Amino acid sequence: MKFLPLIWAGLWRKSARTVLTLMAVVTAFVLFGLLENVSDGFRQIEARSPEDRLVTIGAFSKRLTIAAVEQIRRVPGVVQICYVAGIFGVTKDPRQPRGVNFVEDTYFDMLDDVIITRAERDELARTRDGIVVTRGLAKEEGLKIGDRYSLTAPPSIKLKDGTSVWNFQIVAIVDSPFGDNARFGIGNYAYYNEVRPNPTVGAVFAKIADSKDAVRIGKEIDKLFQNSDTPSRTNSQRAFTQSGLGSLGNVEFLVNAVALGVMFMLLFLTANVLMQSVRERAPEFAVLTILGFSPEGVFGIVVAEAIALCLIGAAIGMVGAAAAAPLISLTGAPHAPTLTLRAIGLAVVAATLVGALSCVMPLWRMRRMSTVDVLAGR
Amino acid sequence: MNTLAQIAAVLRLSLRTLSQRRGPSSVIVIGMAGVVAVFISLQSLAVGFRTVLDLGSRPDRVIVVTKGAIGTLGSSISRADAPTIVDTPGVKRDIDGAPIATTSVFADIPLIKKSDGLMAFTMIHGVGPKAMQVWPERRLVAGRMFQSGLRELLVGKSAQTQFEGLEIGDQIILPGGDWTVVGVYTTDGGIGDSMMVGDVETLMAALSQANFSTVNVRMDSPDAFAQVNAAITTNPSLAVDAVREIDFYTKRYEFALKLLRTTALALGSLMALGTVFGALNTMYAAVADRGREIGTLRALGFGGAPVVISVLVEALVLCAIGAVTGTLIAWISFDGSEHVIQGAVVTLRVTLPVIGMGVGLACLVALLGGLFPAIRAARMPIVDALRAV
Repeated sequence: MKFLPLIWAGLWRKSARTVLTLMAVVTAFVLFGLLENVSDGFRQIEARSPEDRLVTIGAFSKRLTIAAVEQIRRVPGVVQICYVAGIFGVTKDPRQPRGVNFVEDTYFDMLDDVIITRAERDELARTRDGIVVTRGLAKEEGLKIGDRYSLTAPPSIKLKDGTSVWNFQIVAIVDSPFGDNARFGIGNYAYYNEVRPNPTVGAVFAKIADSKDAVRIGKEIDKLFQNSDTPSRTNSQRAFTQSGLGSLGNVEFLVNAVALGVMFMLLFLTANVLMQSVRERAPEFAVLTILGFSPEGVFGIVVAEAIALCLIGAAIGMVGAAAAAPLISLTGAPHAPTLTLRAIGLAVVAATLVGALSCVMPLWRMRRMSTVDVLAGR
Repeated sequence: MNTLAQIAAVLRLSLRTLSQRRGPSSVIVIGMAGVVAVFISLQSLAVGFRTVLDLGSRPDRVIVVTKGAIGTLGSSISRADAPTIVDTPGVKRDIDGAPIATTSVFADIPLIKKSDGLMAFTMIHGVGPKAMQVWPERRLVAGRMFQSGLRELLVGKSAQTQFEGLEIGDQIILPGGDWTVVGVYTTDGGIGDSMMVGDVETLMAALSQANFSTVNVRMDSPDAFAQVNAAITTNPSLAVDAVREIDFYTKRYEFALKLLRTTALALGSLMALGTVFGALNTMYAAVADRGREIGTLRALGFGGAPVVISVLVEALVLCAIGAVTGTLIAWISFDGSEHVIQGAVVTLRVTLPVIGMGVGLACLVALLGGLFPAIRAARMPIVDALRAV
C-alpha cells in the first residue's frame, strides 16, 4: 500500500500519453459494456423462457381454436394452462403498430412479462373492456389510468359491429422486466371473445410437471391437431425464444467475436505504451534497484501501474456504457435494463488480464537491461 | 528547393525509418484492421440483405393489399374483388390479352435450420397459373413444375440449402395432409429463393381460407404505377392499397435492415474512436522519436508544411495497411457466406462501395490521429529539438 503514491506518480509521469491511453481503454470498455448489455438482454429473455413451459401456436399463419385449449389441458403431464389472443393496431403513427394480448387471470400466475399486483389483476378482471398497459407504452402514448385508448386494427381484425376500431379503458399502468422497451397492453379474453366475430387463440401455454418430457408432450399435443384444419406447432418456451432470437442471426457469436477483438487490440495498445514508458524510465527503475528494490519489486510497480490504468479506464468505460445503454433501444436490439453484476465482473477480469498481459513484453525487455549500463547512459 | 520536393524528401525519410517504430506503428495497423473487418462484415451483411430484396423485386411489379394492412399481416382480398383488381388499366397483358397477374396466398411455415437446428419461419407462397409470367425470373433448376390442384411444392434454391427436409420427393406436412416437393427454382439471388411456391387454390383449401392474401400484377412499365394506383384506390368498391414490390419487402424486413445498419455504424464508429486514441499515442511517440530528424531538417531550411504532411501521410499509410488487412479478413472469412435472417436467406457480399466506406473510415482515423501530432512536429522549436540529441 505504501507504494501507492509511487505507482500513482509513475502513471502520470507522461500525462498526455496516460490520458490518451486511458481514453482508448475507456472507449474499449464502453463498447465492451454495451456488447455485454445486449448479450445480457438476450440471456435474460432466455432465462425468462422456462423449459417446463410449452407453447403451442398454429402452424402456417393459422390460429388455434378455443376448443384446442381444452384438448391441451387434458394431455397427461400438463399441470396448468393459459392462453392468449393478440391483436395489433395503430393510433397516431401508422408506422408504429401496438399489440394487445387478451388473457384470462391465470395468465399472470404463469407468465411474468409484467409486474402486476393482485388488486390490479382484480380491477382488470372486473372491467369488461379494461386494459393494462406497460409503462413504456403509457409514456409514448401519454396515457394515464382511467383514459380511453383506441386502436385501429387492419380490416381483417374486425369487431362484430363491422368496424375494426378497438376501444379500451386503462385500468393500470405496470412495469415490465424488460423496462420501457416493452410497449404493449393486456386485456380480457372474455371481452375479445364477446366482440370478435370468430374468436381464436394465438398461443396456448402449458406448464408441464417435468421439463424432460417437453419434447414428448409437445409431440403428443401436435398429434392431437395433425389432421385438423389448424395443425399446431409446440415447443418449449426456451426453444421458441431461442428460435426467435436466432432469427436475427448469431448474436452471441458476434458479441463474443467483437469483444474479444477489441480486448486484443487494447492489449496491443497498452503493451506498446508500457514498452515506451519502460524504455524512457529505465534510469528511474535502475535508481529504484540501487535504492534496494528487488527486481520483483520493480516489476510489481510496472504491473500495478498497468493494471491500475486498465481498471480506472474500465470503471469509467462501464459507467459510460451504463449511461449509453438506453441508446441501444434505438437500434431495436434487446438489451438488459441495467448493467448486470456479471458484466461488471467480466469487465474487471478483462481489465486485469489486459493490464497484466500487456506487461509481459516490457518486463521481458527490462530483465535484459543492466542497471550499470542504464545508469551510465549506454 | 520547392515545397513538393521537400515533401517528397521528408516523406521518404519518414517511411524509411518506419521499420524502427515497428511496435508502436503496428498498434495503428492492428487497430485499424479490427475496425475495418468488423465494419465491413456487418455492413456487407446489410448490403447483402438489400441486394436480396432488390434482386427479388421488379419496378414493374405491384402488390395489392388490403387498405391498412401491415405487410401480408392482415391483408385479405375477397374472390369478388380480385378480378376487378386484375382488370385495372396499366396492368400488362399477354398476347392473348389476358392480364399478367395472379392472386396469392402467403403462409408462414416453420422449418428447421441446418446450421443450428433452430426453428425459423419462411414463406410459402400460393400462386395462380400466370405466376411464371408475373415472376419470369423464377426458373426451374431441378425437378418439374407443380401441377395445379395437387399438393405439390417448388422450393427456392436458398431455402433448400439452408433448411432441413426440402429435397425433391420430401414430404411437408401442411393442414389437411402432406405436400410433396417436386421441383427447385432459383431467382438468382432474390428473396424468392428463400420461399416455397405452390398452387394458390389448393393451398387455400388446405388452410381453409376463403380470401386471398394479395393480388400481384405486372404493369406495362414501371411508370404505370401512378395509373394503377389511382385506378384501384379511387374505385369505391375496393378498399385496397397498391404497393411497389420493393417497398413491400423493405417494410417486411425493416426491423432487421435497420438493426444491421445501425449496429455496423455504432460498432464501427466506437471502435474507430478507440483507434483514434491509439493512433494519437503512436503518432505523438513517432514525432517525439524523430525530434532530432525533424529538427535537423528544419535547421537545413525545410518548411513546416512538408513536416506536417509527412506525419499525416505516415498515419495514412499505417491506417491504409490496416484497412487492407481488415478488408481481407472480412472478405476471406465471410464473403459469400449465407445467413438466415427473419426467415430470409441472405448472402453476405463484400462490395466495392462497402470497402470504400471502410477505407473512408480509415482515412478519417488517420486524419484525426495524425493531425495534432503533425502540428506539434511542425511547431517544435528547432533549438529544443536539436538539444534533445
